[in-house]
Amino acid sequence: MIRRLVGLALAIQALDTTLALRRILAPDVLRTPFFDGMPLMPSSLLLPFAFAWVAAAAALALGYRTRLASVVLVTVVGYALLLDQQSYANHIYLQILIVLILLLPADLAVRALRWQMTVVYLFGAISKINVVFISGALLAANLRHGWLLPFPDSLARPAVLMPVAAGAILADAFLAYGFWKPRYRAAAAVFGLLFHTAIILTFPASSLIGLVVFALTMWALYYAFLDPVEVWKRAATRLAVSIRQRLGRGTPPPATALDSGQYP
Amino acid sequence: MLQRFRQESRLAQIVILLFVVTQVLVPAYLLLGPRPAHFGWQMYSGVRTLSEFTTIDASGQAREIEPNDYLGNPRLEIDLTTALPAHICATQPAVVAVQARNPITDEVVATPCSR
Repeated sequence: MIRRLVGLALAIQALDTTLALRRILAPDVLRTPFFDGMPLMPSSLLLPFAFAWVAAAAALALGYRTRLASVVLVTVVGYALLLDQQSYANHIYLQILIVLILLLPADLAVRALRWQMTVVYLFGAISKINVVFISGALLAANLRHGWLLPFPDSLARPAVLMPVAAGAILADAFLAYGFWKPRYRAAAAVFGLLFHTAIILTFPASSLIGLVVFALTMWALYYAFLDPVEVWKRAATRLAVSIRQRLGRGTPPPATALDSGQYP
Repeated sequence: MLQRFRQESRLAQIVILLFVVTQVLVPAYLLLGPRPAHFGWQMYSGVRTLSEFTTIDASGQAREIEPNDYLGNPRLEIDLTTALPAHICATQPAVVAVQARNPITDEVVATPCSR
């Protein structure tokens, strides 16, 4: 499932990066390369480049020639990542690392993927501990322009959003820690699904594809710890039971695989 | 080789250890520099103080410019203090110098166009 979700996320990312590369490769645009001498791809190769990316991502998702697909992806996506600072994105870097990790033997890959997820959330939390983020100003600037649920100006103010900023740091920290504790694992999975969904729905449209791809990639990593769909079903069942009990209809809930002890 | 890899649990442990140490040390080191930094997992974590750029032409007239107009895909990790003046000097013959001002410290770095 990790491979499928990452393949899907990479296929979506191909669209975003191809459009970005089209702008970056325009003749009058400022180049900001990571390294001097990085060969620049001619714009005429952009279409075959995108095709190779999507085809390899689809092959990875479908389980067809996964090793070859992984090598193609690391080459193509790695080139796009390092071509210019403007084509860099954290989630693309993460995807390349995951594709590389998936080339390892399964038991080793699972351990590496767990650590990879923890590192992303952990440094996401640590790096947010700064005046600009905690002031709420950064959240205000983004949430005011949310594509689906824009915050009204009265709410999208730094002072109002300061607790939300603090909560976001705690959320990242919880997601870094919670999956390692069997007791909190299911809660972390449900929380992570809601957390990323909330970000996708409330941030600006310009970030939408990147945020969706990042969320899919992180959700894929949850599978290194547990089956999030099963956890989600269990949470929904418990919610339904709770609602029924409050309404006075105490019928027993349908048993799930988790309730029968098949999952940790 | 993969078969051997599976058998050598000690080697596997070393691989994981090296992986984790690298994955922790790189972003930890990047916390010491300007943020957000590439490869640091610093998503939406802060705003780099962006310089304000002004071009000066031969008559001494100054004109403020929008840096994002020169980029294909603007990102907060990119420091344009040296790259943008060089690009403007190379592409706009009328410009004789480019100034970059830090709005917080008010420090101005002037780059004369050498032609």
